[in-house]
Amino acid sequence: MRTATAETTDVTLLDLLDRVVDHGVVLAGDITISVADVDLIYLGLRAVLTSVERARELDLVALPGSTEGALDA
Amino acid sequence: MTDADRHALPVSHPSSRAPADTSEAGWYLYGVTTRAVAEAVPPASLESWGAGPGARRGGPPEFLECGELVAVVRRTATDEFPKEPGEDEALAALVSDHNSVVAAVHREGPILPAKFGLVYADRRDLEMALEQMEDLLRDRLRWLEGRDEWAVHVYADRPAVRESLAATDPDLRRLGQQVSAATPGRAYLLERRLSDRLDSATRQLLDELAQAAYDHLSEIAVEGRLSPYRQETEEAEEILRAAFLVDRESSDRFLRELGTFADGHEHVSCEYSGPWPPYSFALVREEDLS
Repeated sequence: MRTATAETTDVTLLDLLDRVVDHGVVLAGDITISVADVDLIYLGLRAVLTSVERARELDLVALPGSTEGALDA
Repeated sequence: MTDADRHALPVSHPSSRAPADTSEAGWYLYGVTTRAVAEAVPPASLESWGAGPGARRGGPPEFLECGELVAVVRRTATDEFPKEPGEDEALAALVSDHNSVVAAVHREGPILPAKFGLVYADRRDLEMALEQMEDLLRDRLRWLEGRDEWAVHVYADRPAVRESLAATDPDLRRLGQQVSAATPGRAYLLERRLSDRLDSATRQLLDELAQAAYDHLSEIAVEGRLSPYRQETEEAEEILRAAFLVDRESSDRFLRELGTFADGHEHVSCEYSGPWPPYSFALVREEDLS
């Protein structure tokens, strides 16, 4: 059974942070600032984004054309 | 320099997009794409990408061309990035801006998303990096053409799986019967043995399930990447977190198969999100460099 549930919003936020903060290409060069302390940022952002309301305001949920879902036996 | 000083600085070049405090100016990197993709984007739409001028300081996104490659960047000031705890909302807005811009490029064609929060002191550094790695980056972008990333989470209800094993596995059932029939002293020892065996059988079954899900989805996907992170809630334990790069025309089949997997296993559920720009597949790996 495939159902989109409210919890999946949290999943999208989690997935967003997993990707944006933790992955991606780094080009060589004189990087004047890199948000290096990933764990700290991650925890802090998680706290902010756990509020779904707040995430909506920040437009973090509405990824154009994206889908999310929960699949259950 | 205090904030008051900075605000008092006259803007010497009204047409310049540089922040007022040029001594700390830098180039924020969103990602790398191709000239063809950049040319497909109407220049006016760049201004509206991302969180907009309200949320970020510095300039709007722009293209920095270098041969066939284009870095998607914007002028920024290094102090735009909050460093103190309690400024997470500002940081969250910048994360949102990063993803919105990367997603906007991804809609037009392939992009190698940059890791969040990279500010380069000199645009020449970026140009040199693009020149030096041009072949590698171009190959990577070609490989990503027409493909999206999907995030997949598989959860299991461990106590329910354990209970079901105790009821169905012949060896474990036999051991359970021995526990009931044994004298109290012996029953205690047998019970501990049963509990250990159940734990290990449950662990093995869930490991195999996670591996089976990953292998099956990897066959449909171009490539899969396991995440080292897991989370555990009261209801369920995450047994697999992975990213998959999937050809756009295979994405329906990919999601269908994920649904079939969840349907086919008791006490197992899945969640997914996507399509994402290929964050997890942007890294140029060491073996590619050798």
